[in-house]
Amino acid sequence: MPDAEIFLEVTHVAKNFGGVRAVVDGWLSVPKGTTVGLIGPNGAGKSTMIEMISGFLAPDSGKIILAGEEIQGKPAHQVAERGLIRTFQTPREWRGLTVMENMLLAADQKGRDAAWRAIFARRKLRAAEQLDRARARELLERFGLLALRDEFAGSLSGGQKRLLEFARIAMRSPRVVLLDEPCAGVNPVLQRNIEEAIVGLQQDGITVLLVEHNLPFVERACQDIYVMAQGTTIAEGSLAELRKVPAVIDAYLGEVEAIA
Amino acid sequence: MIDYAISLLTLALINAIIVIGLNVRWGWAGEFDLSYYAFVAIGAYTTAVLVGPPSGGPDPLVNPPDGWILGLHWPFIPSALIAMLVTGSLSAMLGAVALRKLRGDYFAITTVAFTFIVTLVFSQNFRLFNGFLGVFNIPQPFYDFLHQPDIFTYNLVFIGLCFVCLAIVYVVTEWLFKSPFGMTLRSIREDEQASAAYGRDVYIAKLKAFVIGGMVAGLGGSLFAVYLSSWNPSAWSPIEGFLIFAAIFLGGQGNVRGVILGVVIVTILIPESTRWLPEFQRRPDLYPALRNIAAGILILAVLRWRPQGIIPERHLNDTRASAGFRIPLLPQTRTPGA
Repeated sequence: MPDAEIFLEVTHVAKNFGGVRAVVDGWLSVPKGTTVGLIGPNGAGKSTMIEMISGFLAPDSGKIILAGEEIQGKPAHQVAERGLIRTFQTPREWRGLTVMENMLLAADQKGRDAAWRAIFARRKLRAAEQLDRARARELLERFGLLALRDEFAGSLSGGQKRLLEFARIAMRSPRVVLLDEPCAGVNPVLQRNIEEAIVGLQQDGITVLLVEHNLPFVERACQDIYVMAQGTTIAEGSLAELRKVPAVIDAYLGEVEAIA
Repeated sequence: MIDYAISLLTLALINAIIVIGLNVRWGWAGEFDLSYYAFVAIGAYTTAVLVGPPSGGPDPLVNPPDGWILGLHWPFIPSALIAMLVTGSLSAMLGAVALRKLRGDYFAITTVAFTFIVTLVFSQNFRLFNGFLGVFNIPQPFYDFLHQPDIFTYNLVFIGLCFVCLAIVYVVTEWLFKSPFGMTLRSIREDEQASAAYGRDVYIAKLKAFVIGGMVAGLGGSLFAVYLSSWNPSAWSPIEGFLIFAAIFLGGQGNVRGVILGVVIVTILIPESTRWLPEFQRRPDLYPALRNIAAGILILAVLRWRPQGIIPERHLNDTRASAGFRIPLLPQTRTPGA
């Protein structure tokens, strides 16, 4: 996609943990409205990249540009406010709160969670909450969770938690989503649901960066794929193109596809 | 008898105010804060030295000795407001240090250190707090203003004051509970990384909860000091702090009504339960020991059979949308390990 506007660009980031060089030279760029994959063997530095982009870790060097603004080293909540939402490898629902409360919390607050508003702007807050509730009900219906809306999120099954994760993202409707292995440990039926959910995100115009090991899935979902190995981005292209790159075959595809 | 009941009820109201503050800090924001009772004491001291009698009077039993610089004889309301300001700002200072990076045990240890520092300052500083003697003969609020009414009338006035304070604190915390701010705090208790991933500034939100809780502690302490009419370092001990924690466990962590019920059980009903039993000669320590045992058994029983507390935390439920907030009819259970 040479012409599309680059929405998220990571250039030459590096991160060391003590003596461990988790990321040496990570780079990628995600054009607006596309889905980009990030693959590579375990320990390649993919998750560290996600952590750095989302603000949970500060890179030692390099630049991360989100919608024209440098965000490297900014705390996670500021990155989230700029429209970037990430998931974790395991679903991270607020387990002692209900599904509906999880949805309400996921909605963009636009400053509504300031403490003084709780006392001096109660009517506005209630009106906003009613709108959020209506929207949350629609989305929960779409994800098949409506009947469970007053259950504790912690009491959902693993698969339902994954779906709640996507429902929360849809509730937020961010500009870009980082999905950290959404299909890890998921059965084939649910995998199809998740794939549909990702297609749904694309249809909503949300830009997606997807870290995943399931290559057929990555191939179907992503327009462009980056490969990382030993902390370095080593190649970029479609999966068909990547299959021809010897370095990629050595580092990753050789092993994975031989097994598959 | 009626005087005694009024006195107990007053104590219950004051304890209810105190427990609500800890519920904001621990029940909602989720940080295990062992300094909370120190803030109650700071509030009590601040009010005591502001409303207290000046030093150097003719009678050493009425006025503290020379060298005490406070004892300003202020009216109660401005003193209590100053006390809330003091506890609020000290909470902000402690929170700015302890809440930024420390979690769990490390946070708890830091708050214990703060408590020890506060205890030391109070018991050693003579010019501000009259050292170990503490402040005594603290004037009762509105007593002179009401032209020194008889004790019974005055006790009714004082219980009214406590009730108004509790009502204000209760209503404000209920509003906070239902608001996006309150929900943000509870989300941080559940998973603060997830909260940050959805744009919440975890540190600032916790700091706000800490300051709000601290101010409530200051108000509760102010009322406590004038209720007891004297205040010194032995008037508060770590054990009282633990009783408040026990009250929250018992009543239902997070639920304002629940924690009020819990504090009434722990600080009033259990201590009073043995009062009507016949006295054992030469065994004066039997009943106090029994009370502690009863409290311990009750807490264990609740943790075993009803870990969410007697009145569990409410949720912004949707299935009865118009009612909005209701106590679940059936106890909702968290999955094991929650």
